[in-house]
Amino acid sequence: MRRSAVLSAPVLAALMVPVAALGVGTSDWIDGFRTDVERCWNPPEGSAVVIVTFGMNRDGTVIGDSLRSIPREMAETDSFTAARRAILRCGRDGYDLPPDQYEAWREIEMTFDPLVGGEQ
Amino acid sequence: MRVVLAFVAILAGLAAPVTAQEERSGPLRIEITEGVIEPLPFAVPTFVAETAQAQEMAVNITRVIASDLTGTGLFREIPQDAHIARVTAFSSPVQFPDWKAINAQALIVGGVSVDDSGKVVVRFRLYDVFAGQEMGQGLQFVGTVDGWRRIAHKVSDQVYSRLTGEDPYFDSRVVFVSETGPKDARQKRLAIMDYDGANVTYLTDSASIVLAPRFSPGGDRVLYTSYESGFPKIYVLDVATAGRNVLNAADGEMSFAPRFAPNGQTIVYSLTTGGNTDLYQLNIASGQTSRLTTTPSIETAPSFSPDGSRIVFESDRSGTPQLYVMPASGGEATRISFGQGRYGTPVWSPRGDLIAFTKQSKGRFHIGVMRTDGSEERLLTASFLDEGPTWAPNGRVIMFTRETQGAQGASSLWSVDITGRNLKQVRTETGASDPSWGPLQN
Repeated sequence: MRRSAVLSAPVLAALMVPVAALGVGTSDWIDGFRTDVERCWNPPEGSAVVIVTFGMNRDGTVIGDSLRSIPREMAETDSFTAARRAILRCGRDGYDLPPDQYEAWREIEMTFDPLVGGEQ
Repeated sequence: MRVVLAFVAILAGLAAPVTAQEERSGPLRIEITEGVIEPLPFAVPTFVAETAQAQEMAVNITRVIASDLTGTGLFREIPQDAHIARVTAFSSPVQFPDWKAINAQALIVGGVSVDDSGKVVVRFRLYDVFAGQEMGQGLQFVGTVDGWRRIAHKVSDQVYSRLTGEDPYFDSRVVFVSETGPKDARQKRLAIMDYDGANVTYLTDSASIVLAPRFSPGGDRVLYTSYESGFPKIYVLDVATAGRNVLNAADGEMSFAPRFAPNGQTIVYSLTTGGNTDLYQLNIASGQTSRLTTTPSIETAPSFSPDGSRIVFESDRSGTPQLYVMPASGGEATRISFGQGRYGTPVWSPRGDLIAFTKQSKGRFHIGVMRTDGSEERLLTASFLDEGPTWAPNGRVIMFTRETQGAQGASSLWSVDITGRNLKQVRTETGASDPSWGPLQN
């Protein structure tokens, strides 16, 4: 069953990022970033929505020990494990992000929501 | 989502360029909604043989673990010749970069020792390679040389559970009917095997036709129907000793389609008297019976819900075989199947959420699942003849009988995931039918 296209809280939050904070061509590298992670995300059957926060180094690599789940209890679930694995696996050589906009992507909050994209 | 992104892009396009010095407030928020469904790549280097006697067993155990995991369709083994790192000691530090380089997402490392008394000790650790950390704690299993496959299945069960979050099922057995000889003179024996077809043991000889074996909840007994007396009668067999007793055998009556209640003390079955077939319940210890249905139609193939409160069964009271649910003590039944075709052999999932069934429609047979109220019917297979589903103890996989067409047609066992993926034949040394999947072993 495909869930209706109601905007989730994280998406609304993304819309509310101050416009001045985003540079020209922002959507290109954000789309690229998203696509890179999606390529490695293999959500387990019945996977729940999980939010992962993490920090980035200037070279586009993930600060490995910075990955956290929201809420914290989700860290014990296979949904979080799959999300963390996706972020780390596809970012092992560093994500292709604009160095001059490092402050925009220094901290990431990524929502993994299998109910939006796929048949459940 | 795409609409939202377009909106973000428009906003971004209107914005003035920013410099690296400009600060954002809060993290960049991104939503990931479209993953890939592909088997998770894992590496399992041959377990380290920690004693001289363990060399061959270490190889065999490793291969069974790899086979268990890949057999689910959820995992893909990275061939050992692609491994860069070599594991020479169980406690050696893990070279995560080497495993990352070959894209192994999970790594299983183990050690095997066998002593002169035949005691086998298997240790293992599971690693999340890209997180660079162990998943769960290392575990050790102790067994005998003869039981090495069970130890391997135990390790696989742990790995499977930690990686999927699902309950395990590899260390389990299946009782079935072994079939040999031509179709018009087929010999049938009860047999028991590991879930993967290994370690077959025969429980009966082929002197009489046997049908529909069903495991007890504890896996220590098997109910089945035999024509030994000339009429179909229900027997209960002790798996350890192969000793058996006939149950509730009145002359001239036909009893069949038995199944244990979750308490293991009572059974439900069909009994035909005077040309009418109804469902009955029997307390094995006391021999006391009670009648559950009283219709002129044929009621059969009963199966309990896992909490023992309800029974799903097959009845032709509407004119064609359909599925019904009623309280375990009998009473009003609610029809749950309404699709086109004939429905039979319903089996309640051990999770309680689904009912598996056989469906015949437009000349084809299917194995399917539906919610317990009959909604969300999904057909998982289609062939000339598929029938008799049975659930893996974790409710994720269904095994069933597939029979091929024609005089040379043969029966074999197949399994399929409840998503309909990973349909495959279970290897058996003879023809096979009527599987009943037992519980996870202790």
